Amino acid sequence: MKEVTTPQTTQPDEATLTLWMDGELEGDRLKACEKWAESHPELLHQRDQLAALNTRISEEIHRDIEPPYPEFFNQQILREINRNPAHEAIATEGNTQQNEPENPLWQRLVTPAVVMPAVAAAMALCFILGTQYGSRNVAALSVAETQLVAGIPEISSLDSVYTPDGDVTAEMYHSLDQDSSVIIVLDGLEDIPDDVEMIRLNVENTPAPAQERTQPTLPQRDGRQEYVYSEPTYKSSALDPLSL
Amino acid sequence: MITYSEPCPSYHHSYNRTPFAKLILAALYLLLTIPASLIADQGADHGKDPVGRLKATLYIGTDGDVSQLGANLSKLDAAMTTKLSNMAKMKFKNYRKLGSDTQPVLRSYENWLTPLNPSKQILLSYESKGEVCKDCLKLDLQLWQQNRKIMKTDQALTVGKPLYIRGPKWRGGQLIIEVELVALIESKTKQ
Repeated sequence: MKEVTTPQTTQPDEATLTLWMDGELEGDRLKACEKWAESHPELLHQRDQLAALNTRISEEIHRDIEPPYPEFFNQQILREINRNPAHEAIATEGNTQQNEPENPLWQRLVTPAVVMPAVAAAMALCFILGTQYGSRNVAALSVAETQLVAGIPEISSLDSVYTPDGDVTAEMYHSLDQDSSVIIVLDGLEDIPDDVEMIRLNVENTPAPAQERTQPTLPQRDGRQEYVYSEPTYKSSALDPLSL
Repeated sequence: MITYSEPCPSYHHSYNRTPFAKLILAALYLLLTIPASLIADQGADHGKDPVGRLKATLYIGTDGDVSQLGANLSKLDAAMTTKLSNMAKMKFKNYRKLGSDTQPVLRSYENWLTPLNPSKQILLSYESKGEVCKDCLKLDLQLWQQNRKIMKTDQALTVGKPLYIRGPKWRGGQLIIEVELVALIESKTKQ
Protein backbone atom coordinates (compact mmCIF):
# COMPACT_ATOMS: atom_id res chain seq x y z
CA MET A 1 0.00 0.00 0.00
CA LYS A 2 1.50 3.28 -1.06
CA GLU A 3 2.11 5.70 1.73
CA VAL A 4 0.27 8.96 1.25
CA THR A 5 1.82 12.04 2.68
CA THR A 6 -0.15 15.16 3.26
CA PRO A 7 1.34 18.20 1.60
CA GLN A 8 3.02 20.20 4.25
CA THR A 9 1.56 23.68 4.32
CA THR A 10 2.58 24.32 7.87
CA GLN A 11 6.15 24.88 8.94
CA PRO A 12 8.35 21.78 8.90
CA ASP A 13 9.97 20.58 12.06
CA GLU A 14 13.53 21.42 12.89
CA ALA A 15 14.96 18.12 11.72
CA THR A 16 13.22 18.35 8.37
CA LEU A 17 14.30 21.92 7.93
CA THR A 18 17.89 20.97 8.71
CA LEU A 19 17.82 18.20 6.13
CA TRP A 20 16.33 20.60 3.62
CA MET A 21 19.09 23.11 4.27
CA ASP A 22 21.69 20.38 3.77
CA GLY A 23 20.06 19.29 0.52
CA GLU A 24 19.33 15.83 1.86
CA LEU A 25 15.58 15.80 1.57
CA GLU A 26 13.97 13.73 -1.15
CA GLY A 27 10.61 12.94 -2.61
CA ASP A 28 7.40 14.26 -1.16
CA ARG A 29 9.06 15.72 1.90
CA LEU A 30 11.30 17.81 -0.35
CA LYS A 31 8.36 19.01 -2.40
CA ALA A 32 6.39 19.93 0.70
CA CYS A 33 9.30 21.77 2.20
CA GLU A 34 10.00 23.62 -1.05
CA LYS A 35 6.36 24.67 -1.22
CA TRP A 36 6.49 26.00 2.31
CA ALA A 37 9.78 27.78 1.65
CA GLU A 38 8.29 29.67 -1.29
CA SER A 39 6.77 32.02 1.22
CA HIS A 40 10.16 32.44 2.88
CA PRO A 41 12.54 33.68 0.19
CA GLU A 42 15.21 34.46 2.76
CA LEU A 43 15.44 30.75 3.56
CA LEU A 44 15.77 29.91 -0.09
CA HIS A 45 18.56 32.41 -0.41
CA GLN A 46 20.42 31.00 2.59
CA ARG A 47 19.92 27.47 1.34
CA ASP A 48 21.43 28.43 -1.98
CA GLN A 49 24.35 30.08 -0.24
CA LEU A 50 25.03 26.95 1.78
CA ALA A 51 24.80 24.81 -1.31
CA ALA A 52 27.31 27.03 -3.09
CA LEU A 53 29.61 26.86 -0.09
CA ASN A 54 29.40 23.09 0.10
CA THR A 55 30.16 22.87 -3.59
CA ARG A 56 33.18 25.08 -3.15
CA ILE A 57 34.39 23.01 -0.21
CA SER A 58 34.00 19.77 -2.11
CA GLU A 59 35.96 21.25 -5.01
CA GLU A 60 38.80 22.32 -2.78
CA ILE A 61 39.05 19.29 -0.58
CA HIS A 62 38.76 15.78 -1.91
CA ARG A 63 36.55 13.46 0.09
CA ASP A 64 39.44 11.11 0.67
CA ILE A 65 41.48 13.80 2.38
CA GLU A 66 40.87 14.07 6.08
CA PRO A 67 41.85 17.14 8.03
CA PRO A 68 44.60 16.64 10.55
CA TYR A 69 43.30 15.56 13.92
CA PRO A 70 39.76 14.86 12.67
CA GLU A 71 38.49 14.10 16.16
CA PHE A 72 39.62 17.55 17.31
CA PHE A 73 37.98 19.09 14.26
CA ASN A 74 34.65 17.39 14.91
CA GLN A 75 34.80 18.13 18.60
CA GLN A 76 35.24 21.83 17.94
CA ILE A 77 32.25 21.83 15.56
CA LEU A 78 30.02 20.16 18.11
CA ARG A 79 31.25 22.40 20.88
CA GLU A 80 30.52 25.51 18.86
CA ILE A 81 27.07 24.25 17.94
CA ASN A 82 26.25 23.51 21.55
CA ARG A 83 27.53 26.88 22.64
CA ASN A 84 25.50 28.84 20.14
CA PRO A 85 23.36 31.11 22.30
CA ALA A 86 20.48 31.12 19.80
CA HIS A 87 20.34 27.35 19.92
CA GLU A 88 20.32 27.33 23.72
CA ALA A 89 17.64 29.99 23.82
CA ILE A 90 15.41 27.98 21.52
CA ALA A 91 15.95 24.85 23.58
CA THR A 92 14.93 26.50 26.83
CA GLU A 93 11.87 28.29 25.49
CA GLY A 94 9.84 25.14 25.08
CA ASN A 95 6.85 24.46 22.90
CA THR A 96 4.54 26.90 24.61
CA GLN A 97 6.20 29.89 23.12
CA GLN A 98 5.65 28.64 19.62
CA ASN A 99 2.04 29.69 19.97
CA GLU A 100 2.87 33.14 21.17
CA PRO A 101 6.27 34.02 19.80
CA GLU A 102 7.93 37.25 20.59
CA ASN A 103 9.98 37.07 17.41
CA PRO A 104 8.74 36.08 13.97
CA LEU A 105 8.34 32.36 13.66
CA TRP A 106 10.69 32.01 10.75
CA GLN A 107 13.45 33.59 12.82
CA ARG A 108 13.07 31.10 15.65
CA LEU A 109 12.90 28.14 13.33
CA VAL A 110 15.60 29.29 10.99
CA THR A 111 18.21 30.01 13.62
CA PRO A 112 18.96 26.50 14.85
CA ALA A 113 18.42 24.90 11.45
CA VAL A 114 20.63 27.34 9.64
CA VAL A 115 23.30 28.02 12.19
CA MET A 116 24.28 24.40 12.77
CA PRO A 117 25.08 23.54 9.17
CA ALA A 118 26.44 27.02 8.69
CA VAL A 119 28.83 26.56 11.59
CA ALA A 120 30.01 23.24 10.22
CA ALA A 121 30.41 24.66 6.74
CA ALA A 122 32.15 27.75 8.03
CA MET A 123 34.65 25.76 10.04
CA ALA A 124 35.33 23.60 7.02
CA LEU A 125 35.82 26.77 5.00
CA CYS A 126 38.22 28.12 7.58
CA PHE A 127 40.10 24.84 7.37
CA ILE A 128 40.42 25.37 3.64
CA LEU A 129 41.66 28.87 4.18
CA GLY A 130 44.17 27.61 6.68
CA THR A 131 45.53 25.00 4.32
CA GLN A 132 45.65 27.37 1.42
CA TYR A 133 46.95 30.45 3.20
CA GLY A 134 48.67 32.68 0.74
CA SER A 135 47.24 30.82 -2.20
CA ARG A 136 45.36 32.59 -4.93
CA ASN A 137 42.36 30.40 -4.05
CA VAL A 138 41.88 32.44 -0.88
CA ALA A 139 41.41 35.60 -2.90
CA ALA A 140 38.93 33.83 -5.13
CA LEU A 141 36.32 33.51 -2.36
CA SER A 142 33.16 35.23 -3.34
CA VAL A 143 31.72 38.07 -1.32
CA ALA A 144 28.69 35.96 -0.50
CA GLU A 145 30.86 33.25 1.01
CA THR A 146 32.76 35.69 3.18
CA GLN A 147 29.53 37.27 4.34
CA LEU A 148 28.18 33.87 5.24
CA VAL A 149 31.04 33.22 7.62
CA ALA A 150 31.17 36.75 8.96
CA GLY A 151 28.88 35.92 11.82
CA ILE A 152 30.86 32.87 12.91
CA PRO A 153 33.54 33.31 15.56
CA GLU A 154 37.04 33.16 14.17
CA ILE A 155 38.96 29.98 14.61
CA SER A 156 41.56 31.84 16.60
CA SER A 157 39.03 32.67 19.29
CA LEU A 158 37.86 29.09 19.72
CA ASP A 159 39.29 26.87 22.42
CA SER A 160 42.60 25.36 21.37
CA VAL A 161 42.65 22.49 23.83
CA TYR A 162 41.81 18.99 22.73
CA THR A 163 41.42 15.92 24.90
CA PRO A 164 41.43 12.64 22.97
CA ASP A 165 39.89 10.74 25.86
CA GLY A 166 36.17 11.31 25.96
CA ASP A 167 36.15 11.04 29.76
CA VAL A 168 38.57 13.94 30.13
CA THR A 169 37.32 17.49 29.86
CA ALA A 170 39.34 20.67 29.64
CA GLU A 171 38.53 24.19 30.70
CA MET A 172 40.60 27.28 30.13
CA TYR A 173 40.95 30.28 32.39
CA HIS A 174 43.17 33.29 32.80
CA SER A 175 44.87 34.07 36.07
CA LEU A 176 43.85 37.26 37.81
CA ASP A 177 47.37 38.54 38.33
CA GLN A 178 49.14 40.92 36.01
CA ASP A 179 50.64 38.07 33.99
CA SER A 180 47.17 36.82 33.02
CA SER A 181 48.59 33.35 32.60
CA VAL A 182 46.61 30.72 30.78
CA ILE A 183 45.33 27.94 33.02
CA ILE A 184 44.08 24.64 31.66
CA VAL A 185 42.11 22.52 34.11
CA LEU A 186 41.76 18.85 33.17
CA ASP A 187 39.01 16.83 34.80
CA GLY A 188 38.46 13.09 34.58
CA LEU A 189 42.11 12.08 34.48
CA GLU A 190 43.15 8.74 35.86
CA ASP A 191 44.85 9.06 39.23
CA ILE A 192 48.49 8.09 39.49
CA PRO A 193 48.71 5.12 41.86
CA ASP A 194 49.90 6.07 45.32
CA ASP A 195 52.54 3.36 45.38
CA VAL A 196 54.32 4.89 42.41
CA GLU A 197 57.40 6.77 43.52
CA MET A 198 57.96 10.03 41.68
CA ILE A 199 61.55 10.74 40.83
CA ARG A 200 62.50 14.27 41.70
CA LEU A 201 64.94 16.09 39.51
CA ASN A 202 65.19 19.83 39.33
CA VAL A 203 68.44 20.42 37.56
CA GLU A 204 68.78 21.05 33.85
CA ASN A 205 69.15 17.98 31.76
CA THR A 206 71.59 17.88 28.90
CA PRO A 207 69.88 18.71 25.62
CA ALA A 208 68.21 15.68 24.14
CA PRO A 209 68.97 14.87 20.52
CA ALA A 210 66.37 15.82 17.97
CA GLN A 211 64.09 12.98 17.09
CA GLU A 212 61.37 12.23 14.64
CA ARG A 213 57.80 12.11 15.87
CA THR A 214 57.64 8.86 17.81
CA GLN A 215 55.72 7.46 20.69
CA PRO A 216 57.47 7.57 24.05
CA THR A 217 59.12 4.31 24.95
CA LEU A 218 57.90 2.87 28.18
CA PRO A 219 60.30 1.56 30.75
CA GLN A 220 60.08 -2.06 31.72
CA ARG A 221 58.23 -2.24 34.96
CA ASP A 222 58.07 -4.96 37.52
CA GLY A 223 54.80 -4.68 39.41
CA ARG A 224 53.43 -1.29 40.33
CA GLN A 225 56.53 0.31 41.76
CA GLU A 226 58.44 2.09 39.09
CA TYR A 227 61.56 3.55 40.51
CA VAL A 228 63.29 4.23 43.79
CA TYR A 229 64.96 7.57 44.30
CA SER A 230 68.69 7.41 43.86
CA GLU A 231 71.47 9.92 43.65
CA PRO A 232 71.99 11.29 40.16
CA THR A 233 75.03 9.86 38.44
CA TYR A 234 75.95 12.98 36.52
CA LYS A 235 77.68 16.12 37.66
CA SER A 236 75.90 19.41 37.59
CA SER A 237 76.71 22.88 38.74
CA ALA A 238 73.11 23.54 39.77
CA LEU A 239 72.10 23.70 43.40
CA ASP A 240 71.47 20.48 45.23
CA PRO A 241 67.69 20.03 45.01
CA LEU A 242 67.61 18.80 48.57
CA SER A 243 68.84 22.11 49.83
CA LEU A 244 65.89 24.14 48.51
CA MET B 1 107.10 40.96 -34.92
CA ILE B 2 107.21 37.75 -33.06
CA THR B 3 105.28 34.89 -34.40
CA TYR B 4 104.76 31.55 -32.86
CA SER B 5 105.53 28.62 -35.08
CA GLU B 6 103.49 25.53 -35.26
CA PRO B 7 105.83 23.35 -33.14
CA CYS B 8 104.56 25.35 -30.13
CA PRO B 9 100.80 25.25 -30.53
CA SER B 10 100.11 25.39 -26.81
CA TYR B 11 101.90 28.65 -26.52
CA HIS B 12 99.97 29.99 -29.42
CA HIS B 13 96.67 28.89 -27.92
CA SER B 14 97.43 30.33 -24.52
CA TYR B 15 97.95 33.71 -26.04
CA ASN B 16 94.44 33.53 -27.48
CA ARG B 17 92.91 32.25 -24.21
CA THR B 18 94.02 35.06 -22.02
CA PRO B 19 90.48 36.38 -21.50
CA PHE B 20 89.30 32.90 -20.70
CA ALA B 21 92.12 32.39 -18.26
CA LYS B 22 91.20 35.62 -16.58
CA LEU B 23 87.68 34.36 -16.25
CA ILE B 24 88.89 31.17 -14.63
CA LEU B 25 91.08 33.07 -12.25
CA ALA B 26 88.21 35.35 -11.32
CA ALA B 27 86.00 32.39 -10.60
CA LEU B 28 88.66 30.81 -8.43
CA TYR B 29 89.06 34.06 -6.56
CA LEU B 30 85.35 34.29 -5.85
CA LEU B 31 85.29 30.69 -4.78
CA LEU B 32 88.07 31.20 -2.29
CA THR B 33 86.42 34.26 -0.84
CA ILE B 34 83.10 32.56 -0.10
CA PRO B 35 82.84 32.01 3.67
CA ALA B 36 83.44 28.46 4.63
CA SER B 37 80.28 28.41 6.70
CA LEU B 38 78.15 28.99 3.63
CA ILE B 39 79.73 26.08 1.88
CA ALA B 40 79.38 23.85 4.90
CA ASP B 41 75.83 25.09 5.43
CA GLN B 42 74.60 23.54 2.24
CA GLY B 43 72.71 20.39 3.02
CA ALA B 44 72.61 21.07 6.76
CA ASP B 45 69.36 20.19 8.49
CA HIS B 46 68.06 23.51 9.79
CA GLY B 47 65.15 21.69 11.33
CA LYS B 48 67.39 20.87 14.27
CA ASP B 49 68.31 24.49 14.90
CA PRO B 50 67.10 25.65 18.30
CA VAL B 51 64.61 28.50 18.22
CA GLY B 52 63.97 28.69 21.96
CA ARG B 53 64.10 26.94 25.27
CA LEU B 54 61.13 25.42 27.03
CA LYS B 55 60.88 24.50 30.69
CA ALA B 56 58.40 22.24 32.40
CA THR B 57 58.10 22.26 36.17
CA LEU B 58 55.95 19.85 38.12
CA TYR B 59 54.34 20.94 41.36
CA ILE B 60 51.89 19.21 43.62
CA GLY B 61 49.27 20.90 45.73
CA THR B 62 47.54 19.23 48.63
CA ASP B 63 45.27 20.09 51.51
CA GLY B 64 46.39 17.00 53.38
CA ASP B 65 49.54 15.88 55.07
CA VAL B 66 52.58 16.71 52.97
CA SER B 67 54.52 13.87 54.53
CA GLN B 68 52.42 11.48 52.49
CA LEU B 69 53.92 12.93 49.36
CA GLY B 70 57.38 11.74 50.25
CA ALA B 71 60.49 12.94 51.92
CA ASN B 72 62.82 15.70 50.84
CA LEU B 73 60.50 17.51 48.48
CA SER B 74 61.28 21.13 47.78
CA LYS B 75 59.06 23.81 49.22
CA LEU B 76 57.99 26.74 47.08
CA ASP B 77 58.86 30.33 47.79
CA ALA B 78 56.16 32.69 48.99
CA ALA B 79 55.68 34.36 45.62
CA MET B 80 55.11 31.11 43.81
CA THR B 81 52.81 29.84 46.55
CA THR B 82 50.72 32.99 46.29
CA LYS B 83 50.65 32.77 42.51
CA LEU B 84 49.41 29.18 42.48
CA SER B 85 46.88 29.70 45.24
CA ASN B 86 45.30 32.55 43.28
CA MET B 87 44.69 30.38 40.24
CA ALA B 88 41.37 28.82 39.41
CA LYS B 89 40.98 25.34 40.93
CA MET B 90 44.60 25.26 42.07
CA LYS B 91 44.25 26.61 45.56
CA PHE B 92 45.72 24.28 48.18
CA LYS B 93 47.16 24.60 51.65
CA ASN B 94 50.56 23.19 50.73
CA TYR B 95 52.64 23.03 47.62
CA ARG B 96 55.79 21.09 46.80
CA LYS B 97 58.04 20.93 43.79
CA LEU B 98 58.45 17.51 42.23
CA GLY B 99 60.78 18.15 39.35
CA SER B 100 61.61 20.17 36.27
CA ASP B 101 63.18 19.82 32.87
CA THR B 102 64.44 22.32 30.30
CA GLN B 103 64.93 21.45 26.67
CA PRO B 104 65.49 23.37 23.44
CA VAL B 105 62.65 24.08 21.07
CA LEU B 106 63.74 22.90 17.66
CA ARG B 107 62.74 24.55 14.44
CA SER B 108 60.87 21.65 12.89
CA TYR B 109 61.46 18.66 15.09
CA GLU B 110 59.48 17.37 17.96
CA ASN B 111 61.12 17.26 21.34
CA TRP B 112 60.23 15.95 24.78
CA LEU B 113 60.19 17.28 28.33
CA THR B 114 60.51 14.81 31.18
CA PRO B 115 60.11 16.71 34.44
CA LEU B 116 60.09 13.46 36.41
CA ASN B 117 62.96 11.91 34.54
CA PRO B 118 63.36 8.96 34.26
CA SER B 119 59.74 8.40 35.23
CA LYS B 120 57.31 8.47 32.33
CA GLN B 121 54.26 9.34 34.42
CA ILE B 122 54.14 12.88 33.09
CA LEU B 123 55.65 13.74 29.72
CA LEU B 124 55.30 16.68 27.41
CA SER B 125 55.97 16.61 23.70
CA TYR B 126 56.14 19.78 21.71
CA GLU B 127 56.93 21.10 18.28
CA SER B 128 57.36 24.66 17.13
CA LYS B 129 54.71 26.11 14.87
CA GLY B 130 56.63 29.26 14.15
CA GLU B 131 57.00 32.59 15.84
CA VAL B 132 53.74 34.51 15.96
CA CYS B 133 54.96 37.68 17.64
CA LYS B 134 58.14 39.20 18.94
CA ASP B 135 58.36 37.35 22.23
CA CYS B 136 56.02 34.45 21.73
CA LEU B 137 56.03 31.12 20.01
CA LYS B 138 53.19 28.91 18.95
CA LEU B 139 53.69 25.34 19.99
CA ASP B 140 51.95 22.10 19.32
CA LEU B 141 52.06 20.96 22.94
CA GLN B 142 50.91 17.53 24.05
CA LEU B 143 50.63 16.20 27.58
CA TRP B 144 51.16 12.49 28.12
CA GLN B 145 50.36 10.34 31.11
CA GLN B 146 52.40 7.19 30.74
CA ASN B 147 51.68 6.07 27.19
CA ARG B 148 48.42 7.95 26.79
CA LYS B 149 48.03 11.37 25.27
CA ILE B 150 45.68 13.22 27.58
CA MET B 151 45.76 16.72 26.19
CA LYS B 152 46.79 18.64 23.11
CA THR B 153 46.95 22.38 22.76
CA ASP B 154 48.37 24.89 20.32
CA GLN B 155 48.61 27.80 22.70
CA ALA B 156 51.11 30.51 21.88
CA LEU B 157 53.55 30.87 24.75
CA THR B 158 55.07 34.22 25.62
CA VAL B 159 58.52 34.49 27.13
CA GLY B 160 58.17 34.74 30.88
CA LYS B 161 54.44 33.91 30.93
CA PRO B 162 54.02 30.27 31.79
CA LEU B 163 51.09 28.06 30.95
CA TYR B 164 49.63 26.08 33.84
CA ILE B 165 47.95 22.72 33.53
CA ARG B 166 46.14 20.98 36.36
CA GLY B 167 46.99 17.35 35.93
CA PRO B 168 46.09 14.10 37.62
CA LYS B 169 45.92 13.35 41.31
CA TRP B 170 48.57 11.53 43.28
CA ARG B 171 48.65 10.64 46.96
CA GLY B 172 45.82 12.98 47.77
CA GLY B 173 47.40 15.90 45.97
CA GLN B 174 46.93 17.51 42.56
CA LEU B 175 49.73 17.72 40.05
CA ILE B 176 50.29 21.13 38.50
CA ILE B 177 52.40 21.38 35.39
CA GLU B 178 54.00 24.70 34.57
CA VAL B 179 55.20 25.13 31.00
CA GLU B 180 57.31 28.20 30.38
CA LEU B 181 58.97 29.54 27.26
CA VAL B 182 62.25 30.55 28.84
CA ALA B 183 63.80 32.27 25.85
CA LEU B 184 63.63 32.69 22.11
CA ILE B 185 66.76 32.21 20.09
CA GLU B 186 67.35 34.29 17.00
CA SER B 187 68.56 32.16 14.17
CA LYS B 188 70.47 33.18 11.11
CA THR B 189 68.14 31.43 8.74
CA LYS B 190 64.43 32.11 9.11
CA GLN B 191 61.81 29.43 8.68
